[in-house]
Amino acid sequence: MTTTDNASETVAIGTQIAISFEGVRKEFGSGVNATLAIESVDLDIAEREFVSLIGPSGCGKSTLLRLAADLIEPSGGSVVVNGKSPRQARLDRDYGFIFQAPTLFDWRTVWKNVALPLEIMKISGMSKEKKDEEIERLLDMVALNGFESHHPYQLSGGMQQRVSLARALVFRPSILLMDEPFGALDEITRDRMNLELHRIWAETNTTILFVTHSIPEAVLLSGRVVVMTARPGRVQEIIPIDLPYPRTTEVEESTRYYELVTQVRESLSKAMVGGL
Amino acid sequence: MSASASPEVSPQIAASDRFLTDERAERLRSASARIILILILVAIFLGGWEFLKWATDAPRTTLPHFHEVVNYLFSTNSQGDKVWLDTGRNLRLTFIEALTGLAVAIIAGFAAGTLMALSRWTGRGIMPFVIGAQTVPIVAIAPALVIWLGTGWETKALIAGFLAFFPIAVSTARGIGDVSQDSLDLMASYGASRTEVFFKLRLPSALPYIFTGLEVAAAFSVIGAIVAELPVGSQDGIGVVILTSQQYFSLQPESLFAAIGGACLLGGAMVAMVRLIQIAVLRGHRAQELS
Ligand SMILES: Nc1ncnc2c1ncn2[C@@H]1O[C@H](COP(=O)(O)OP(=O)(O)OP(=O)(O)O)[C@@H](O)[C@H]1O
Ligand SMILES: [Mg+2]
Repeated sequence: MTTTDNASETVAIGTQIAISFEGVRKEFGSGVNATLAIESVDLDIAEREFVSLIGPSGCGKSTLLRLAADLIEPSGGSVVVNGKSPRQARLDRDYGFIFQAPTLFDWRTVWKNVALPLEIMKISGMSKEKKDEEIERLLDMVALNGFESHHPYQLSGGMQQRVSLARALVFRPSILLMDEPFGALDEITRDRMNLELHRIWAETNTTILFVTHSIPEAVLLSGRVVVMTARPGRVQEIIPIDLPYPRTTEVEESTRYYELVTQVRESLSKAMVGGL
Repeated sequence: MSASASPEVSPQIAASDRFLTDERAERLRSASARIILILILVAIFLGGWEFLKWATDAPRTTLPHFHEVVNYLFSTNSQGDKVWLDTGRNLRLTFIEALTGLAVAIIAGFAAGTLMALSRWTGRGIMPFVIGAQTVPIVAIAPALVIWLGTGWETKALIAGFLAFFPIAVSTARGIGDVSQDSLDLMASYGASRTEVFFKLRLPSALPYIFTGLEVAAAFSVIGAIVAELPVGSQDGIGVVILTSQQYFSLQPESLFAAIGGACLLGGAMVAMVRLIQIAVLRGHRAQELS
């Protein structure tokens, strides 16, 4: 495991492909009510890569994530996750999914919500103490210690989304699929969560596919930003982000950062026009 | 009436608000407010009763004084039993009939509701029966059932259960079926089995719905048991007491009012029992779904 300090030299992107979309098409419904959400997406995401998806509302970002997660099936083309079918990857618990809404279970306490994946997965060779330790560590990380026995409805929206982040990390999946996870948070909390997420990514071997509406967020966090066209979604442009690591507030003030933000913005506005 | 009652309550609530702030005190406050409210309602009820009697100048054989009904309860009947003891015995039997019916309805209703929510084909198959359970005029067919199945308490329990079945089945079906797609996706992303989805997601999220149906079912079970006792041939139960009191109304009008009061208390007790269980079971659920 690398630390944040030497991450600057060693954010080594793997050579293996973690997620691969090849000519992926997705149509919802049929006949007159058919909606073509995604039209032929080709995209490879390497192991340990942090890739952001950005695009107009309704362009199929969530759909792409759900295809990778085997929550829906493609109408055409192929999706490969960790060299397997998405179904096998799902059954192997290869990924953690973080939804736009926190999706916590109201009848469970914060602690028990975070423990949910461990209950279902029955991870072998993990003692109760080890699990408790892990849950505690993660609640610490998302700054929710002291709220273990609260119920979700007693928490703010931001706190709820932090619980959902802890829940996704507790079983250490190799891939994180995140659908606008911090969209509902205030800017300060959001910045903190972004840096925290970036640290987790740098310290672990996690591949992250991250959907966002925020251009600065996408540029700050990612190795590559994928700009999608309006529906039906296609890849408009893939913009490599050649900013140094670790990504700190200093990076946020550099000229290169502003250039990249502008580049993504221009690409995005082209994508919007293309869709109209 | 209620307008004059509220100034009595609200200053007390406002005063206690200032001192009691934590959750337990909050619960205590709402409980004592509820008791005060009940006392006020009882006072209104008794006042209304006596006012009605005074205003219409009704004779004892139309509407006795409330205290006459109470006195009657403590008198001795023709068999030499205390009336309140005898009424209690009959209430107890009706209670057992209703409770047995409710228990059967809970099992059958839960099973039917779950099937309706989860299995497309079996669900469709039992749907007509559930709808049927709702539309059968039980009051009309109860006498026939008593003739076919006898006047034993089991027949009455069956009719009570029949009536209680529908609300449980419907609320279970709604609760089990009503889970968000995100929650289902979340469970799928953990590779959860159908059994795990049921016990860790569907059932707990359905509990508040199920208890709402259960409360209605509790009231229905008492109604069902009493209706089942009405056909001639039955010997015991509060329904029988109501029927015989009606026959001797001109001689002993108090007995009918005592029997009606007992039946009301029984229904109330049954619903209260379900509520208490609900509060115990749903402690972790959203507070708003409890009230
Ligand atoms: N289950 C579904 N049934 C029918 N149409 C759907 C379904 N899910 C998505 N769609 C359609 O597919 C398109 C893409 O939806 P998707 O949710 O992927 O968009 P998105 O890019 O995530 O948008 P947003 O940024 O607003 O979240 C939309 O036009 C939507 O109407
Ligand atoms: Mg979306």
